[in-house]
Amino acid sequence: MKKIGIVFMLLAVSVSFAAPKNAAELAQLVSESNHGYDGESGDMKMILINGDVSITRKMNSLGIETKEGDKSLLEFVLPKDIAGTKLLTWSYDEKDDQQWIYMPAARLTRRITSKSKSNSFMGSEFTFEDLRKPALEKYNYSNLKSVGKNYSYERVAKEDSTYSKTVVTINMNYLSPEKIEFFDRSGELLKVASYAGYKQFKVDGKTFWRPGSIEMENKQTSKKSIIRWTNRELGGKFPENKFSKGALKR
Amino acid sequence: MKYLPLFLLFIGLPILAEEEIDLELDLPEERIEKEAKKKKLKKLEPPKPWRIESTELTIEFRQFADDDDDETFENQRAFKAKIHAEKELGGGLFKAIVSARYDDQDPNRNLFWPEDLNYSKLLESKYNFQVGYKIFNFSNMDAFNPLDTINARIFDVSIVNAEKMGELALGVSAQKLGGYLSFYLLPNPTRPVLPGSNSRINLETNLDTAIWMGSKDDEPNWDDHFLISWEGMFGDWDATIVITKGIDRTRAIVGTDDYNITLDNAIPNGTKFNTPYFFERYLTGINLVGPVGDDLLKLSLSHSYYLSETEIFTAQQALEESSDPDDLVTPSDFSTLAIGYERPLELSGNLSSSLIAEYQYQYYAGGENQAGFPLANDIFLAWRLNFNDLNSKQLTLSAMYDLEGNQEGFVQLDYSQRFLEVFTLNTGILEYMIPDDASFSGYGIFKDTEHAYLNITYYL
Repeated sequence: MKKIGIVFMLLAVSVSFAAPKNAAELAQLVSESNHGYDGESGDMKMILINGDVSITRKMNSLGIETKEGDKSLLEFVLPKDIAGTKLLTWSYDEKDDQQWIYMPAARLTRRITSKSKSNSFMGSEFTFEDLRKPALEKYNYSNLKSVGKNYSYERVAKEDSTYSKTVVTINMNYLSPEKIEFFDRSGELLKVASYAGYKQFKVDGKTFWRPGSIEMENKQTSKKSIIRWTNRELGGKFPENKFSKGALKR
Repeated sequence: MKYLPLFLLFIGLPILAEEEIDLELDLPEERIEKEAKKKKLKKLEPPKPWRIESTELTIEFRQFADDDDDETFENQRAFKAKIHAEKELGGGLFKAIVSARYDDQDPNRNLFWPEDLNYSKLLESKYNFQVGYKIFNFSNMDAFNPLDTINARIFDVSIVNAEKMGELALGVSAQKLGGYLSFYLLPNPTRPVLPGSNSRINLETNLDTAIWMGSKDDEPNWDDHFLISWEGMFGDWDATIVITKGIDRTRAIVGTDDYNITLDNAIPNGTKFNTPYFFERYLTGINLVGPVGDDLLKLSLSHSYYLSETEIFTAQQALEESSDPDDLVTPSDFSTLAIGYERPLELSGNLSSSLIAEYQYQYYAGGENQAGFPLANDIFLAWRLNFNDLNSKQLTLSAMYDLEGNQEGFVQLDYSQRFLEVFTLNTGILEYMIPDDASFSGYGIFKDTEHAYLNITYYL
């Protein structure tokens, strides 16, 4: 019985995806594996680490898939001076992405300019651009490499970006990122995002994997930011009008 | 309720947005089972208590320069408390955001006021009904927001950012016509809080109780004051359309309507000229914000149509001892064009900044801004620096200038940041440049109000 168990375990480990022919194919596989989750919700904790100082931010997240792309809504819970602040992101597959931030103290919705996407998000090592879904059609892919059991490829934005390129290492068990290296406009390594704690979700029989945490380390300043998810759920049916600019005030 | 048919039409508007169609097709048995489960859950759920979302306690310090007034003093202190609580009840939500302030100098600022104090409920998963006090925001620029004039304000020493008070509103909002459509009745306008002689505003006497001036024998009909707004997108542009009828509480004419015209002379019947008159008007307009390359272009177009034709013998006229009927004032209908441009600038490290330029022009019927209202032909420039750090530090340098050159403007340096995670600090200097002969109704009242300020807020 013990042997059978070991055989099953080995089988389970070896269930990974076939070797991709090129970087674009792998990127497409990753993108397709992420389609069909319908809606997603969860609580987020963001820990900002600067030397010995560590500060925690809390947010609730909500997202849906639409015909044109993904829409997400982040609502801040902590710190209290910005509680209720909402960030609405429309990540289109083809068009330019759009973002708005709603500030409850002023009851004001501000549009985030495309150039502002390189700004730090809440003083963290994540930028507004990092919070947008990297749509398949908006990048060129090259330099597919085998990294142990996994593969990595280079991704270069077709339009203006904060980064000259990113190198994405895909965990072939989950068809999801294991690590992303971000290079600044001068080509120097700027940040490394490490994905961990993947959990499995099932929506209409399809399997999805989501990381439990992402650690973003700035290699130039040694600052770190960690996002951790709890109470994450996939498959939720949220009305699209919840993700409209007008609904931010409500 | 003249607008009841319109209200019913609103409810019955055809669903145009595809995303509104509910595609959930449950079988009858499943639906019955689900509803039974829901009922069971409802029975088991205990009533939810009030939830305190946030509590803010703020100490406000202001130091004024050259104070030579016996009634006021150089250092003004105030204490403000604001609480935000919510409670779910009957499938809807009670929301209470209320504020109170004690000011050690200006009794007019000793206030308790509702910001949002309302009950809302979503019906048919589409229509959000709301009743109670509510703050509306139809602004899209830093300084010039001609559509953002629904709520009464607490007038103080700021030209562009007076605090808002909640407005009693009864209405419904829904996703319609590709955007968010709202219809509200505004049956009881909140009175603006006006400064008195002990305030820092340049007034010699206390103002009397405000009087509303409407179309019908100068008595407005409260049951037909309304607001229709639509917020959506035209292509990549954010758009807001506003149509409203109500009392314009951003513009007052101070004086008296108790006078006679005798032998072509306007002769007041009393000696009091300190009554503020607020006028009923229709306001229609549109806000647009859209990308132009990496920048943002903002536009506001509006028209105000006043319903009262009563002319006021103004305090200014009394000061000038003029009995000329041509000096009597009534607000002229006017159109506003405001243009804003925001350019983000890239800086090293985490720093980011933006340059903001805004211009507003108001065209008055008859070509003359008779009442001398401010912001008629003004330019506003600002540079905002965000440190994008753990404490959200922000520095803003801004200036406003009257291009007609008779009311001038101000320069302001403002800095804010969070500290110890539960405090915020906001400090700065506001320097007014007001000529001696500036209009009483315009920037003139801000003369000698230059000051430094420090606000510290504790978030519980």
